[in-house]
Amino acid sequence: MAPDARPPVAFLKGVTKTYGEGAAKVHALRGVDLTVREGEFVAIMGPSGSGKSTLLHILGCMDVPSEGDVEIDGVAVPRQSDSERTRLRSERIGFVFQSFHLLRDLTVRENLELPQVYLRRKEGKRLPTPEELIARVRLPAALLDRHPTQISGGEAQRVAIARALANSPSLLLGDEPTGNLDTTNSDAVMRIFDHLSKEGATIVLVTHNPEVAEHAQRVVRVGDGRIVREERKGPSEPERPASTTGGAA
Amino acid sequence: MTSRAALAVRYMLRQKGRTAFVVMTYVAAVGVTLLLTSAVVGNEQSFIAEVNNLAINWIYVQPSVPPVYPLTVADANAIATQVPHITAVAPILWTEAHFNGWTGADSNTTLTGSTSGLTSVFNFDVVRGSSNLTDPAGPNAPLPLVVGYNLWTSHDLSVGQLLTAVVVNIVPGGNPAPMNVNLVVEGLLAPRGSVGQINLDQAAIVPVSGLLNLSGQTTLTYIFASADSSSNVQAASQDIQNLLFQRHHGTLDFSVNNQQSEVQFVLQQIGQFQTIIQLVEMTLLMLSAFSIFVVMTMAVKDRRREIGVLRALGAERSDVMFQFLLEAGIMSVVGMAVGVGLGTVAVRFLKQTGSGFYAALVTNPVDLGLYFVELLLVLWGVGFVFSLLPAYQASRLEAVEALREM
Repeated sequence: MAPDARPPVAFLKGVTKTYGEGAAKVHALRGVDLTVREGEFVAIMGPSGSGKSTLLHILGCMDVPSEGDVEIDGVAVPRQSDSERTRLRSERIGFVFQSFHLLRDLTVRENLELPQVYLRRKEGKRLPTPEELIARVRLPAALLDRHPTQISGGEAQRVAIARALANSPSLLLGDEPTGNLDTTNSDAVMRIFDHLSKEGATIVLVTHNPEVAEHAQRVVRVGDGRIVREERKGPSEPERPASTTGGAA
Repeated sequence: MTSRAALAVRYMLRQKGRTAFVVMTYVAAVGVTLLLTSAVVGNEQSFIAEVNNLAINWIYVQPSVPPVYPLTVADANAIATQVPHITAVAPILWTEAHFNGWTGADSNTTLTGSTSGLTSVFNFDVVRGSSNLTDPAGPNAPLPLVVGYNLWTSHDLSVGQLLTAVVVNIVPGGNPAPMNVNLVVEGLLAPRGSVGQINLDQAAIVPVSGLLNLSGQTTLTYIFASADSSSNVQAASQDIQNLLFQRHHGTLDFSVNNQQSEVQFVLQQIGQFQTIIQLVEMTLLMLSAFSIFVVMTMAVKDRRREIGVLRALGAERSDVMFQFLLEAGIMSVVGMAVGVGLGTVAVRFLKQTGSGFYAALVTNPVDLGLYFVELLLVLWGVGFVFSLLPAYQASRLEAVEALREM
């Protein structure tokens, strides 16, 4: 198979994460190698406690590995500086949460503006307006002036996706984005992710749901802190087993 | 409104009880402080104005009770002739008189025995007649009477008009029985207004020697004198004290005060009052600071998820800290603004409905000067300092920890 020429958006090498000390020491991740390339749609699956959320937090620069290297968009994620990691997150990463987590004191419009408020370097970056963002998730502009308590769960998650796109991120991360939705709304949300993927967005979703994982081009299965299996979709990208180190690139 | 301000304001509106608690403590602190400060500043200004308005560069001598040696007209004459820089002297003897035919508040009028120097010392203008207060030639001749504006306009008096009154001794040791006295209006005075409790327009002045004879009193109530300039008041006071000490055979049975010492005394009294006020202000200040600390700490505890989301969306620790300080700042500023507003309304109401102490209140906070501005800044600053710790705690919250709680 010809090597993928697309540049990596996320690159993890030998990533280990441990919590606690001594007998209470817990290994959340054990030497994970993972590369997510530009435009890829990756689903991370695994049972509870497998380390998939920790992996997502490290990808999202919200947590740092105990060992190993992480690069986002070609930039090494610093371990020491919270401020630099926050800036990296602010400029290059968009988050979608299971429970939407729109701020209820703000209108939809203000929620969509929030990531741009915290964006330090805006030069040379054309940031989308709330109207453009709401259109991308196929919601009417009339919702912009409502509060999150005045919209449905499906609409709230689509607004949350729009908010994650507000800083034009290089990497869109989703933590069980359909976990709190019924089938109809789940389908609608996944169609949005499909559409964004077709537009070229790089997406990594953590999910329990195989139907959600069906939408991804690549499924990474995590177990006991390791990548245990990787599946690629499409005739040119057949399924293959994970490497002996547990990583997949 | 920016998202940060909207977040702050809407959270405060959602948490109405807590917001009201903080705002009310600030309202109380600022309102009470405004009231107390306006009372202190207003009464200080009012009292100093009264002291300065009483007479011109004035000095007064008051006998001790009872005096070893009476304070006499001869003492007053000695001051007038022997003390440098004295421009006028007014011996004062107060007694009470019941004027025939006068009713109401004027039926008991304070009769002042003095000399024509009184109009100079107290800066009276004579509208009609003269202020000549010499004793009459004959034993039964009426005493000349110079009348203040309110009295002569109320009773339609004219120069030369004859009056009769009963003089009642008000000092122990005088004549026990009331004495009938005939009076003739000698002069009518221009309006002069009130100074403190003394309404100068109620003055009824007769020759001091004649009144001493009538009342049977031996000592003057006061001797008032005017110096030629404010810079000579202290020196002239000292000279008067030395002179009277000599005349009273080395006995200090009198006290000498003046315009400046009176102002100093008032400022000293107000200074003590201010210490009490500052204690009250300090208590209210600490209550405000405590309220903002408690409410902000509760807010941080309640909003861990929100903080996690903000951090996930790219908010730096400083952004989170700023968010909480912004909320604390808005609450304190709103509380202070409402406090100034309500305090001003309360002060104006008290000034309009009250008298004396209340009438002197300063109604415009701007007129309270730097002291009040400093106090507002201190109040805001202490609130800011007390909200720093909760804001800092919020900023130290790890995004992952906060998100795990979801």
